[in-house]
Amino acid sequence: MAKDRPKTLPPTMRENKRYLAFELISEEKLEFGDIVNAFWHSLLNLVGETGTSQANIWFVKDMWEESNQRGLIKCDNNYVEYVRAALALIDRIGDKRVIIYTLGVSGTMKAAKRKFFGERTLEDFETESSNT
Amino acid sequence: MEFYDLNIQLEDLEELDEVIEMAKRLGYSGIGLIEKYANLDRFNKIREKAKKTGDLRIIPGIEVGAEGVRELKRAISKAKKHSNFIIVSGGEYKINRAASEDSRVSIISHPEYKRSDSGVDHVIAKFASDNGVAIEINFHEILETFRKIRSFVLSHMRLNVELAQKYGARVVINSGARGKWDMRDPRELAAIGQILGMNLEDSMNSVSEIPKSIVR
Repeated sequence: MAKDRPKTLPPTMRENKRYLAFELISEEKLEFGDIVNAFWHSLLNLVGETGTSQANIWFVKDMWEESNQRGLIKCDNNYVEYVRAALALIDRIGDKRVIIYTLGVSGTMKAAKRKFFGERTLEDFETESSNT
Repeated sequence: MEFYDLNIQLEDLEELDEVIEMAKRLGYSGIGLIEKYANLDRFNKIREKAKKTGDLRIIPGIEVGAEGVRELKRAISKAKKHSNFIIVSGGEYKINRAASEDSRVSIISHPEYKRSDSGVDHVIAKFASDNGVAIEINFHEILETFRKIRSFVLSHMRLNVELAQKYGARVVINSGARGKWDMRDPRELAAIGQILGMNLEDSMNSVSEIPKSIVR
């Protein structure tokens, strides 16, 4: 029986995405929801509704690290600079002053986790142990 | 790559140490701390501080503002006795024009400030190019405006970038920070350059090579 959802698109038809890892500096630690709201507000102000729709924004909730205030945003590869600019244009969340800056950009979530969130796979351990 | 933010104007000098820490955290190699000519005592304090800040280079500079061209020239001559790094507070067309014609000036700051046009035309862009005066994109102008006004500011800045590129004038992107919370990562400032029509290389140069060459 067919599933009640469209099939996964062929690779050439899928969006070209990038993952932006960001870090937040603020007076106090902030919650994920506040940052998401502030970002949407900033991006909508900067590029409008059409631009935001093309940017294909997705916040990866599982990757939010409250302890060091780091998170991951998925976006279209043509909108990376707009996303950076929108992050830079957030100066306040609630009544707290903030600076948000990107740690870097990655093409896959796997690479982003490894580069910016210190995640190590079994392969990493194997290569490290073979080197030593 | 070395990054510089050449326009930080502190409201409160007590915050200086925090600004230095933030600049190091954001990856800057140097910051320009700017004071108005009227506040020479504050300028001297910054100059003293600049002598003992280790790996972060602090460049004390003077911002010159004037109502008329003659007053501007006089103010530049006075400021030049104290610093080689002079920023002219732009906005008035005749001030932008006079600053672009004066090779003693390092940067024309926010030429579009409080204007209904970009404040720069082909003549200013040509003079700025010939005299080595850089045209500034001031991030603080974007940060402090909203919606309709921000769209005008971005549009004027985009035109300034286009003119500067056509006539070979240098463009610098500065935060224009008033305190540590207004500072931004150099890569984010470069992103602003890109949304204003620069390519990646030019926008990165606007926060690294160009400011570095200005304060060499």
